[in-house]
Amino acid sequence: MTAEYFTPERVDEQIEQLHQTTPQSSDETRLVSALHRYYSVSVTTEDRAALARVRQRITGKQNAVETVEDGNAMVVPFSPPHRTVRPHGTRLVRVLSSLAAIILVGTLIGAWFAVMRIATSPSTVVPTTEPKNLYTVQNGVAYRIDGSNGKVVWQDRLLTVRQSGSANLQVVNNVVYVVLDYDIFALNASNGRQIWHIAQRSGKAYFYSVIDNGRLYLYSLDNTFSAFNAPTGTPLWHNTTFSTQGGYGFSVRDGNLYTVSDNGTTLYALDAATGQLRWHLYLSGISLLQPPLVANRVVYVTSGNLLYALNEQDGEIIWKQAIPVLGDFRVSYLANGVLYVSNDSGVFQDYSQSNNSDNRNFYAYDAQTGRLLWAAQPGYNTIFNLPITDGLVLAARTYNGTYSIGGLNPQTGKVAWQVPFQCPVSQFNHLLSPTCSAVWTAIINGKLYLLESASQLQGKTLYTLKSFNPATGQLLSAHQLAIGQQDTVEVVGASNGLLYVQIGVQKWADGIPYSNYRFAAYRLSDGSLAWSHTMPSFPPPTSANTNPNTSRPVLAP
Amino acid sequence: MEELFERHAEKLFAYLCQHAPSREDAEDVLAETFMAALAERKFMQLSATAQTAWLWRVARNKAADAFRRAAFRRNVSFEQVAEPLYEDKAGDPEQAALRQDEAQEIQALVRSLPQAQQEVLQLRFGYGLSCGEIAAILGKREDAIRMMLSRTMNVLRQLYARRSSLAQDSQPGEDKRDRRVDE
Repeated sequence: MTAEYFTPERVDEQIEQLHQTTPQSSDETRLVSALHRYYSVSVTTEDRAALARVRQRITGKQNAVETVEDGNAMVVPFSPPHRTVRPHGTRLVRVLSSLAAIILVGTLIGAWFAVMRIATSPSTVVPTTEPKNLYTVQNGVAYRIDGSNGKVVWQDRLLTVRQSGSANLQVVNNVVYVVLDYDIFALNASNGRQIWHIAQRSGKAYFYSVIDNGRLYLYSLDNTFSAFNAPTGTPLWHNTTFSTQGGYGFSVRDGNLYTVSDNGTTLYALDAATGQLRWHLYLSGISLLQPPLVANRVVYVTSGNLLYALNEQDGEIIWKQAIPVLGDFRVSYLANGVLYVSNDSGVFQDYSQSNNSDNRNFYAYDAQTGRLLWAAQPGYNTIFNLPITDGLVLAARTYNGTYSIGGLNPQTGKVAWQVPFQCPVSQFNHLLSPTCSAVWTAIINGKLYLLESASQLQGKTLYTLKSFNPATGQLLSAHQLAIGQQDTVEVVGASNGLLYVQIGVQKWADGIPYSNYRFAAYRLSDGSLAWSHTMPSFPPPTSANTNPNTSRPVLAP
Repeated sequence: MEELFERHAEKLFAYLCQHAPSREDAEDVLAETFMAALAERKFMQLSATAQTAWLWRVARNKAADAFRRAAFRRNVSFEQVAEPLYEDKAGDPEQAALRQDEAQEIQALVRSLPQAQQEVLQLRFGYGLSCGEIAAILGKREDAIRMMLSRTMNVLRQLYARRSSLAQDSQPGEDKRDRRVDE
């Protein structure tokens, strides 16, 4: 056998010819056939539904772009955005897949809440000493799990009027609010007893909810917003004249409900008390991917690499700055009059360039004037919700295949200390990526705690709980956690000297993945397991609705 | 744009389902890719080949980005999401078992290759892209892709032939040690 059967000049044609050849009598034909089968992709009914949804989203975008270009104006007159009617058959799929979306949105909103907390209390994170418990909804049952020992305090099966694919859980003022697709429950957090229940026997599913200042705000799949009195469940308003497909991930702050247009390029502020539109502003034509930060009656928002400060009352632009490099930036937090802005996508922006450079960036701006104060070294970005600690801005850096954490001078951006993590480097296209990163950080009792995830071969992951001196970067402790290397891990939070994680064990049934979960608490002091609680198993799925009625777990008193 | 969507969306979506952290991410990335094309004024002025390359490059880039976000969010490793899944849905269990064996064998061979070669193979066999299209997507010269693909195929052919030969030698009922003694 010659090694040069395939030639550079004819390799395309050779592969095509061998693919057509039957029977498969030679190694070449069998190899080509096997490669075709190995890489083959089949389009399922679900795929077709997804493609139809994407087509509709693009159609909406096309209309929006044409409108904007025709108008050629920065501020466009308000008119209800074009509403795309989702096919009835795909709506269920959309609803069933909303769990994953809610996880994403929940993460964004979780970060958003953190940002809000930081904006109002800029200098330190003061961990509450009040013992906290775990709340979750799994498979239609709400649970409270004692944070100190992992025992179930109460559980309550949620009797719904219609089947639900998703669940969104929040705990506010000792009330557990559970928003399912067509039902909303308010439960007493102490004993699980139902306070009120709203059932929607017709209409579109609820998609996302926010509780703020005694009101429960809802965004539904008919693209509209509504609000209820949170303590009583009494309807307050439902704005049926304003709709947007970009309503998921909306936020509420200081009496305004902030959302974006279908294509994410226009910021809307609704009056949270009435649901009526207060103002809107077309920004730059680039989607707003992050919720705005609101502080001192100023709305800070990024659109692509443009940074705006807006008047909270009328949306007027106070100042506008172009961030020096392209990218999808976010306003991470405001502290001591300084606005910290970073992008964590690391995505290359110039599509004409073949070299995908890793371009994370971190900037500080004067919040009052928009003046650029400093730019950190390339690769830095903000690290979760950590504000200034011990006089330093704590940040993470991914650069040239190395992951580091560091403390930066908030006045100059200069690096006071930097600790690189030791882990292998993976390469995706031209991009070098470290295989480790921090998946959770917190300042507790003056120490920087961090959970490091380090990917190993074949999808295995090691988790190490580390603590550092935030003033010097000195490593104080490092303990590998006893977690299955192929399990998925979601950190719920820390309290009572414990780190709580939800561990998912992925299973397969008829080619459909689903997970069974357990909660585990690890001691911050030494990483040892304090307790573990296995939740009831999910039945093997028969459709794409793999973990129905399951919420992100919440840590609350 | 309709025509472009018809031509590319299915393959792009299939690719994204394998390279984005979840189906929902794949759907979002696909939408974002076409929306980015709509927002790019110069896009429609590009040639068909350049448009293909642009769409694939943006999709690949956004998929990587989605993966990073997901890895942060849910700690999914790249291997978990990038690994092509071989699912045989044929009704014949015996045939399915044979194909599963074949899949494992070809998977072992493919995994022994560098990442760049694996990606070229996937674009060629999974999405039917020509060397010219792959070159445009990866930002490399076509002759470099042709060289890489032909070399990869020759290496795989040798390995595949060697494995086939070993498999035949170890058929049940045959005792290689006794045969060697006889020889």
